[in-house]
Amino acid sequence: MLRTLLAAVAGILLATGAVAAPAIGKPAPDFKALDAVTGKPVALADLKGKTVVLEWTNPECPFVKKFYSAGKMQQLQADAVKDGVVWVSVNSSAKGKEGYLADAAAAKAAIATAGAKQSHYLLDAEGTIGHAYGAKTTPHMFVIDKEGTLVYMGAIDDIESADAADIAKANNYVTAALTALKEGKPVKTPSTKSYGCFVKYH
Amino acid sequence: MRNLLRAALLCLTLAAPVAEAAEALPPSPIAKTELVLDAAQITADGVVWAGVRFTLPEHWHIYWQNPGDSGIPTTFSWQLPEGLSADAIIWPTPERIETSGIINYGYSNSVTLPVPLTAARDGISGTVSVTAKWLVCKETCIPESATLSAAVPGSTPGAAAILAEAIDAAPRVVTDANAAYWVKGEEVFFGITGPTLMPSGAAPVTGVRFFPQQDGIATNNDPQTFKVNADATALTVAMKRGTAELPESWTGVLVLEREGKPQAFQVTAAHQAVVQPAADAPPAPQATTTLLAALGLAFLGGLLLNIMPCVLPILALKALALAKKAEASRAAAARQGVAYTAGVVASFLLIAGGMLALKASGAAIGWGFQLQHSGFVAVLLVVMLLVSANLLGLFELPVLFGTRASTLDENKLAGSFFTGVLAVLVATPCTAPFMATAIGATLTFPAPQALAVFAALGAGMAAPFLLISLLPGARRLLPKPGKWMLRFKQFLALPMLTTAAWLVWVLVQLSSTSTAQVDAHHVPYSATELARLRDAGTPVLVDATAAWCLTCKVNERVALKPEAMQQFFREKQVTLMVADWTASDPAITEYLAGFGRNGVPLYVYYPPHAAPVVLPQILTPALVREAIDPPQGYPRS
Repeated sequence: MLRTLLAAVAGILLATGAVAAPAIGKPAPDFKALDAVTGKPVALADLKGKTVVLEWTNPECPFVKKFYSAGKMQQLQADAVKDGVVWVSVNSSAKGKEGYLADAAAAKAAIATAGAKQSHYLLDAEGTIGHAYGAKTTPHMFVIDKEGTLVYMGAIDDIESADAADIAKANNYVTAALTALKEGKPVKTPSTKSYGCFVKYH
Repeated sequence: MRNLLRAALLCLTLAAPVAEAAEALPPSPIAKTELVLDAAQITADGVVWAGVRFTLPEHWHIYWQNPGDSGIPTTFSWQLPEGLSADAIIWPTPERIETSGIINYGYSNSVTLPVPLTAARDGISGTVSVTAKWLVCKETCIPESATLSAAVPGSTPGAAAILAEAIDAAPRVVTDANAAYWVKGEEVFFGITGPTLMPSGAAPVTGVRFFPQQDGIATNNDPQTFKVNADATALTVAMKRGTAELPESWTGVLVLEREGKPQAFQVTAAHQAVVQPAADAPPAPQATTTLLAALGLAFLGGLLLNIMPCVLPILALKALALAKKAEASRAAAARQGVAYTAGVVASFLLIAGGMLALKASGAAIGWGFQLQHSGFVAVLLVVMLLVSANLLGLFELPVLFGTRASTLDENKLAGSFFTGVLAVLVATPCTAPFMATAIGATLTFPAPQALAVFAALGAGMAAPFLLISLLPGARRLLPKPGKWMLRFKQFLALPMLTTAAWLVWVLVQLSSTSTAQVDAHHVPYSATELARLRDAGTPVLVDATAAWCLTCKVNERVALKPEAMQQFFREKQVTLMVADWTASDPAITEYLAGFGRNGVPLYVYYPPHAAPVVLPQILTPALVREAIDPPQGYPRS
């Protein structure tokens, strides 16, 4: 009797404590997953004290290819990591869908082919992290400051196209956010509509 | 042989993942395009139509001007002879395309996107060329483009019919609609009226779909619900609030389904913001209630709380406990009384302290703020269920009362203290007369004085039981213990369970989507709307209420909702403005403060072109009628 009641309590409290959608200025949703390459756990809670960038990726998506084929995403990653930023690439393609990477070997191959320079690559085939962040497109970018607060979410830059030639002409929102954080200034454009292919959830 | 087999197996396993890879794509370009041009005659200031017709393989789609959660809008870039200029695409009504929770707006199978070309003069000739860029997706997304041209003057075969059909598929631009959109809590509402959208005598609307041109104001993947007012002159679509900032006006395509047939309209809604109250704001709080007066009113209010349905069962239980141990020493009984009083007063101070602290840090809340949060309501619900279970004898409550085997009617000190806490918890939905003024007064008191008022409220509430426990004579008046006690306890479970059921409803209200009714006679509270109605000389009755406020609900049931009263309001052309404070709403908190109030209910009647009249806390139909339509010779108070 008591157990049923307690279960009901738990149920009620869980239902009312609905998952909070990510919001600028609020703590970014926590996540915990295994790094596809090293197999070690990566949790946002453990990254406090460091700036974190989340990049939703899908190697087959033309908009992701736009940045990788031009070497631009790798450049962004390398520059950020050099500055002490933790760059986490997340692949939320479900099994059987475009861009799905089955295991560590597939992930390593994808990273090697692209020459990517992220700190961690997370395989999120269940879509848990994707849904927690409301990631809709690839790429979809999130920047989290040292205290764990979400300071940017949205598009990678301000020209929505699949044309690599537009990268140089566009203003990169991630670079702007990282620079603002470094200089201790508020991020000027904290939220934009992301563009790209839809994330291949199951 | 074995090696051959092994090699064969190896080949198969290597080949398998490749075979699993994406199915073969249709030949490129996936979207077949052709330029459609109806420009046999080009005259000055005339419009000729051009367009691009897309033909797509099954399940592939291209995107609308707002692609939705992902995707890229289809774009045209024109190269035209001098004197000819192209306008924006006249977008046919899009489809809603869902893929694993991601919502897009676009077109499948085939679509023609028409564009009007305007000529500045006669005799234009040359080549019309368009570079179309689009993203075509099924599972995979492929960005494509095509450059198409044709000579002008001239027409492509069948152009007139194709373009006519495309223009017909575009939503009708509505100019006579009075459309507004507003945000309330986690929802955003898009409301429309007007003879084009809601013609009188039309079949009822059976389905609605809103396609926003500006994305992000509402989410795309949450359900859209709609409500139509009683006389079918206004319709409101409710959606979940997104993350984009609110623009001054919001345009979108509204598809209304009537008798199975959809009709699409393009509507632009102005943002209806909640701004500071108008110049002739309600009068500021009266010459502040003195501290002594507030203390007195609070004590009285607390006393009256005991007969409110929320608190009465608890009080009855404690009295029962005393009756059971009637032979116990006077000192012991007195200790129980003091412990209970301590519990009550401490709880009031705790909640009041919390409220004051939150207000000091800027939150626009008032008394009852704890019930605006589903977490607290959930906890209260669980407490009610546990108490009911205890009353029904289902189990003991060591957890709650920290003693070995205590029930509510046991006489342990800790038990009495926590009964006091419980009593305060369940008392919050009830508002007794005098309480409102006393609590309202705390708006202007410094913290220590405000807390003293709440302590007085607690003292008043605990007074009856304290009295019973202290006066020997009182205890002797209590009935002798007997079997009837068990029955009585079980009987008391009934109001507890009813309250629990009602709390479930409150929880649902707090977390569900509920649209505000938009029609001539019932409107949601808005300072600007109130000012507008008053300027127009319309009588308004403001009903500040909340789902968790029992007193409010009873008042509504008795004096506002009955058909006779509704009829009366219609006759007197009174607009009922509901200020729903179920979830925290700073605008309503401010409105309440304007009348020196800190909680609900509050009933204010605004006669045409006259000062507002505040109605009492407990309403009766007669009271309401008298306020709105005073009998001749009676002055309006």
